[in-house]
Amino acid sequence: MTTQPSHPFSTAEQKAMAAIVGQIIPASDEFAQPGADDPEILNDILTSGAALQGRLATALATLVGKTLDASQAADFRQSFPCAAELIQTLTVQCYYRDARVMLALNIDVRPPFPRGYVQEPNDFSLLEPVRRRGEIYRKVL
Amino acid sequence: MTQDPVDVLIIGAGASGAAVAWSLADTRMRILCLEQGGTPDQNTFPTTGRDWEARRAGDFALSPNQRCLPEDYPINDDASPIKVTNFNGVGGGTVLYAAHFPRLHPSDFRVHTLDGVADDWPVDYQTLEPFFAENDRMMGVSGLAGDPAYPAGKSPAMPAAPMGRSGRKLGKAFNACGWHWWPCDLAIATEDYDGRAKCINLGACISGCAQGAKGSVDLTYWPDALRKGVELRTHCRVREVTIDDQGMATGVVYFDENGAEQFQAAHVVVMATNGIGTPRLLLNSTSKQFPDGLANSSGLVGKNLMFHPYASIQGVFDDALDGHNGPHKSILSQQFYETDPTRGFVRGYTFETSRGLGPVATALTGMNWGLVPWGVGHHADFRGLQDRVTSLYAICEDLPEEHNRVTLDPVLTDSDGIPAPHIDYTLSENSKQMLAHAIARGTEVMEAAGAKHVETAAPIELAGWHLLGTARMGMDPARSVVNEWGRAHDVRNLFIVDGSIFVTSGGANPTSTLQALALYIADQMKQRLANLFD
Repeated sequence: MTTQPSHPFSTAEQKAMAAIVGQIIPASDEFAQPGADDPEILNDILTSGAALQGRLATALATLVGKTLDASQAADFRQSFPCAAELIQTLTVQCYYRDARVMLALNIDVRPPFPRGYVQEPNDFSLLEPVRRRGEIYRKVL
Repeated sequence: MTQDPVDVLIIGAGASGAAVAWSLADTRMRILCLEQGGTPDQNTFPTTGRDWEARRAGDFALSPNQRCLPEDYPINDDASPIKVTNFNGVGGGTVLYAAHFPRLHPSDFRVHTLDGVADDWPVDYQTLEPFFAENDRMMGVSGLAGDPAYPAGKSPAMPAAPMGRSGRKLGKAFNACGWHWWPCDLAIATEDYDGRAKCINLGACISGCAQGAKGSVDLTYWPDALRKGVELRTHCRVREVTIDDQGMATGVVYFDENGAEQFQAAHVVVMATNGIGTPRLLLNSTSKQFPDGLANSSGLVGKNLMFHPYASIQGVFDDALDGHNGPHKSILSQQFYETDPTRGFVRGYTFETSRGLGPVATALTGMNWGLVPWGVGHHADFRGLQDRVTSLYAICEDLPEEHNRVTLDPVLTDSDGIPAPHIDYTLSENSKQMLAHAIARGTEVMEAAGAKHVETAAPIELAGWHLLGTARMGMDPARSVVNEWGRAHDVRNLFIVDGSIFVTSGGANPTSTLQALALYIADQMKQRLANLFD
């Protein structure tokens, strides 16, 4: 039994997408972070971007069968600015919610709710100069 | 199909509709509110998932044109540098607002007298003061008493929200400049308040508050109004207000949740559908008596549209600040709120801080600024911005101009076939001067705070939060659409209570004033029940 992919991108488009997102955010040994072409992140990008397939098809077609370098990625960005921006946004949205990436950036691997976050207490002594200057609103008779 | 008549029919369950429903419920009249959207479910709000930032570009996008949910109607704002943001559902814009809750100033109601521009309002700050206070109590406002930018007497029910590292840093910078600043009044519970749990600093107020700490009217006014017997019917989109031969409103035609056309009869109709929705509905309500739109004998329905043009001044710092942790707004400055002729423009603006960015917004903002590249340098440069950005926004007063207007689009319709609004809007020279001033002064603040890099923009495109002026109030039927207590000059049982009745915009977030005004109008209606239509 085979599982149907949860996105409409063809195999060739998937490879093209992996090539370009891996150029946008490559893996880093220095920071111990995966690239955006990591299979798990790539799958998130393809799934989350399912509705965009039609808008990206033409641009992705130019990358099919290519192994991209930084210069070719820059050319792609220049030639297809709208598609590049869509892919960039999608890539960033999916990359920065990956648990490994969040851990590497010292971000709690959880949604904000329900635990929330803690803030330091206020120090209103900073307002003394403002209080000293007095009222600033315009009087109306 | 015709429904039994109600005493009062309110269109729209947002900030003003909720306040009026709650207040009028005291009369024990039969009150019905029709709302085109549904009731928000906090359990599904973005911050319940790790994809919370991505959803800001999807089902919780600020623009209805981007969100495209069934309850949204499209808006043709191609001819405007500022795009409309809204939320269609119970709670209206308060579901997605940042809950910054300043009042307009006393001077805002006397603009013509003081500065010789626009018109004075037919009400004043003093008249509205008790309604400001009542509204603050209902919405649950936190803050710090004693702000010298306002007359004495404003006392928030709860302590101010945390200023955070970013608020402290910018507060010190305002001190260094010798300028006013103060902790923001926020409709955010900093203590458990009236059934609402206190804020836990989720940092995504404008994506809906999953904690329920933010004072959106689905959590403040509506539970009380429903307990008092008001009926709220959701997923009902009004097409037109109908009238009889005497020019009195008879009710509304609407599409119910199944898309079926219905007629609801009413003795009084109250419109609370914001500065875009209200003129749209009035212009769609044509008849023999009102061929140019209901209540439009002045020709002013849809005209004098005011946004608040926003400028952004964002600083990058060496030290870690708050990131997205905490309510968006922390402190404000109204140093430049009141007119000073030496500045080259009349009226003024509020600076409000905006705390910081989540990781997705950090990366995308950094890429947009050219500070975070594609490729190997991405990771190090991202770390250079992570939790190190904070912002000032200037909310500039927008003066009324008749050429800034809402009309009906000749082509675009919503999913029920109702003509959509079309916006024509240009920035005035006064606004341009004010934006330039705000950017210069805001940059001074950022530099005084030690920012190593400052980015500015004006006007911010997706900042059409405040939709004002398109059915203005006034004493003169030739120069206004509603009278000094919100009743249409032309239709004696039609009331308008939303931001469209603002005469001028002020230079501050309008929700507090808008709701105080709605409560004032409801109070006037209650006092005049015996002769409401005279």
